[in-house]
Amino acid sequence: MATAQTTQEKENEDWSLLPLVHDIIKCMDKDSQDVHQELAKLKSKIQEAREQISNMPGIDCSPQEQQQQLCTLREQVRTKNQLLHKYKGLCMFDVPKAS
Amino acid sequence: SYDGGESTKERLVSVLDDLEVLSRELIEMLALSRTQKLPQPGEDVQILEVLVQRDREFQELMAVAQSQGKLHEEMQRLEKEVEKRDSDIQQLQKQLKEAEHILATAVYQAKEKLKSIDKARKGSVLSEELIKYAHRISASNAVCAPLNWVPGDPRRPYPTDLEMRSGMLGLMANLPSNGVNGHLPGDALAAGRLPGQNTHTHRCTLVGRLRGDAPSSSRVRSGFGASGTQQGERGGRGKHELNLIFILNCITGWTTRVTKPQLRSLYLRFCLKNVP
Repeated sequence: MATAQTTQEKENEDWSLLPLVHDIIKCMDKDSQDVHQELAKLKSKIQEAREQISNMPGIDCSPQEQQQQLCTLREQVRTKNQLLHKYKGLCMFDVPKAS
Repeated sequence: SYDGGESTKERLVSVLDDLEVLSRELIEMLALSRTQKLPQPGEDVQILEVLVQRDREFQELMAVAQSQGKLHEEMQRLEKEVEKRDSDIQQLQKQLKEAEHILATAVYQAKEKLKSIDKARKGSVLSEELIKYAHRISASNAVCAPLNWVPGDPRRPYPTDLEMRSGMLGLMANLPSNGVNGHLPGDALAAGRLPGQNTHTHRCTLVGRLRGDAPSSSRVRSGFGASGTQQGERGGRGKHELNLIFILNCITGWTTRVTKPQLRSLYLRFCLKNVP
């Protein structure tokens, strides 16, 4: 449980831009020359996030729509399973091979 | 607040754009305030608050996107399962169609057989009579001409004009039963094929009775055609067999009802009866 929570926090931290903004402000306060490097980091982080978003599967619809689609698919599988079960329960025919 | 109609991707891109703009604005504002030494309390704090809010929103959306990714995998798995089930159902449907076709054919054939059985029961003929008749016509060159037959020889193979005219085809064409083309009713008697008038009458009666069961003239025609192709065979056993087939053909439609083993059985019975 604790491990899962830590992983979740890590994931959240991974996508937060605030630490980078904080580093930039600190550098500006100190008049450090590293501010350009920190700015580049922020820019690359944003770019990385954009690429990640464009490659993520299944986010072309809202969660509600996705849930509906999932329910529909589950219902389809259930119905088709029932149909197959019904067909297989019917009398079996020995289809003679064409000679 | 979440808008249900907007996709997660659109919302993520929008929030990320906001984050980019807000962070740039904040940094520019701080830089400007340091160079100009103009303290701007309040505005930068407001921007910072919005930035923090947007950042939290972005993280939440990323978590939602990750969970949607997992659901997407589940959906793909279900879609594959649906495709497989569809394929199974189509296969079963095809088999059921085949079975339906086979059953329909079987029912049709069974009905036809029942009709034939019914007809056969109504017009039943004793096998003894058939065998006698076969023996009679085979003993008098009725099916094929004698080996030494030449034109002018009155011993013609069956059927003669008289017999043709007394059959169903002749009746359908309303042809006179005698005196046409020079073949008189006496031809058959003269040729010695008919042992006597009584026998001839008996045969005509039998054939007439049998032909009376004929459902259509086409079957009569097919019967003659079948016998015609078999007239080339000569010899004792084959001849008797041919005679039987010929009679059965004349009875119209019997070739479809009498199986070969039945025919062979009739022939064997005939042979056993005629062993010297």
